Amino acid sequence: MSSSDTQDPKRRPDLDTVYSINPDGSRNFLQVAEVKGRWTTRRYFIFVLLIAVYLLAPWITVGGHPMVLIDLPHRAAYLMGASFTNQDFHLFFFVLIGLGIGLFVVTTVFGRVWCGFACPQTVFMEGVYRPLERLFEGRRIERMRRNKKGGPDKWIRKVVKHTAFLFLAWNLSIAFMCYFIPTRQMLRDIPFFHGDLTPLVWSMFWTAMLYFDYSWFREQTCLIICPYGRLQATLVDFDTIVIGYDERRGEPRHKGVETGGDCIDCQRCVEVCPTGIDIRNGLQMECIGCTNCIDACDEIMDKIGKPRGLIRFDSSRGFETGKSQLLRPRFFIYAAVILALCGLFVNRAAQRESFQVTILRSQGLPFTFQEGKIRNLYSMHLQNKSTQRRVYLLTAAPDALADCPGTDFIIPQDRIELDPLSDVPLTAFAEMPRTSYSQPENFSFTVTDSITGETQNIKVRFLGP
Amino acid sequence: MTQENHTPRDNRTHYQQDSVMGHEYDGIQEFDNRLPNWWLWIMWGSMIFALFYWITFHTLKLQPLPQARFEQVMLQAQEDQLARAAKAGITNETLVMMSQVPSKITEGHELFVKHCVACHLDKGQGLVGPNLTDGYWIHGCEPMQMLKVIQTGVAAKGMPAWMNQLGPTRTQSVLAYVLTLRDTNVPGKESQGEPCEFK
Repeated sequence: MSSSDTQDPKRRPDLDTVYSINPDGSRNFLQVAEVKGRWTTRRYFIFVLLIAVYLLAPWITVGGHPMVLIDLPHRAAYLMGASFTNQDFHLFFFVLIGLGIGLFVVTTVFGRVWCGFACPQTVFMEGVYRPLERLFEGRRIERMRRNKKGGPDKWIRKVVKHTAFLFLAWNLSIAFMCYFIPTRQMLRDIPFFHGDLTPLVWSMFWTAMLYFDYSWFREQTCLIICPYGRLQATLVDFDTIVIGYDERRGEPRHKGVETGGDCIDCQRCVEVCPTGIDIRNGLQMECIGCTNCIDACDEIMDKIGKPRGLIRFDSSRGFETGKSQLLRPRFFIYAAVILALCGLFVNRAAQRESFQVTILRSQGLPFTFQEGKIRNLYSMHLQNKSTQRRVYLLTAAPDALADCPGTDFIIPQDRIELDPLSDVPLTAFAEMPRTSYSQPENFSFTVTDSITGETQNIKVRFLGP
Repeated sequence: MTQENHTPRDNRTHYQQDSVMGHEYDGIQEFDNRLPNWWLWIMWGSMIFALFYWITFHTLKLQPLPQARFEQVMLQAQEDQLARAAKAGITNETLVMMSQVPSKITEGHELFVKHCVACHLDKGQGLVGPNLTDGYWIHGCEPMQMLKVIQTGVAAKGMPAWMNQLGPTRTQSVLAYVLTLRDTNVPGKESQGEPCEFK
């Protein structure tokens, strides 16, 4: 693992290249300096809150089910007490589009606050892994000196750090999988190695992924893999609040306080940047809006007795003219779209049927002859989508068949008890004497929930020669 | 952002100005920086994996393809199910023994009246479903085979699968009752299937 001392010492972050990639394609592993300040404090507060929510959500039960659980083997999902089955999968469209547009709204107004404050990549990187690294390997200066010097002091610390990283990654992978496997099953299968080995194997896979990501890959995820970062250019405009450098105030940058602009070119904002950019080069795709450079610069400004805010949250227009306009048409358009989507989602979710019945003509013969009668066989599939045990009644309504004398319906299971979210195949027959048959006729089957009274009619066709 | 009014900044140094590519569209030029090595590893790794995958699965056919593997697993699951039943002590003999236990027969009769009479009629003489009282059986003479018919059904003929609804124990009770009907020869539906000998 290289450190930032493997790079060309003359190289500075620029707009033409990715600083964390050396010109030969090797990694320029950033040693990020530590920073203190009001934004950092706020961020740590949010990190703690988000980590608590993230870890606890699967353990909280609402209405007898986990608050959040995506049960893939049983094709069911639970969210805040509501249950969803695979027939409700179309609702997922609203969730995805809603999240997408929601991100658009936030990005349009506040830039990449998601990246800097709430993305799990940042929350666990900055809130857990970097503090741990600091604990075992010391501050930036110490780390770089020790990396250069080598020896047992370096390697022992590295081994301890990576052991801790691996153990933490394993725990996080299990916490993550609790969103997919009920926590009770998790507790049974993971620590004691009995029952099903699948969760354990998956946890190993995710451990490897998380360990790789947080120990080595880090900002490369945000810079090269994350699609949201690559969309920034289309989402932000001159009025979007971003983290920026006040050129009018800072330039010409100059070592020493007496002459020139307020920027004393101390490189603090570059040292603390987790993605290795120089914010003074302007808004860049790599910037994840982490606020490190704001706090770093404010600290320096305090020291040299200049006002804070040389690097601050402001819009590009604000940095150039001193005036910003927060609310603008595109914000209202996005907001209207997302409100409409939320409305549609709630509407669709509320109108979901509590059970679903599908009827298929039996495979093979459309009809058979039996003792002078024509017989049709119907295969049905009934699913209880509610979270309670229900009793359903299956009946047939003759409709047009009422005119054909001798018509008869045979329903072997007319009273069906179904457990929550379970389903059952059913069979029913309709038959009539050959003499009554003239042409295909419609009739219907009716399924009634004996508790709620909810009914569904399914039209089917009686066929004959 | 316009920068004419400002002092040019010294760290926008065009580190690799020589890597600018020849083309320009709407004033936009493209750099030809080297790809990250980790990215190249993934690319070469994927290519090598694809080669091995192709040779293993499609050329030498050392491993079954996902579809075949799925069918294997399903077959295995069926065998496991049978094995579980055998392990739980369900055999032809135990099923015959069940058909001599009054409580089993009573439970089976109740279930039969509730679920089966629509097709097999009250005495099992058959209507839509076959006659259960004659010596002829369509899907095999052994009680285990009959249990399988009750549990998994015969979808093409309209016999439902009762396993989901009744579970293993109650389907066994139903069979216990049905076994008592054998050779009662109630006049009803004509005989279907093959003649069976019962001890």
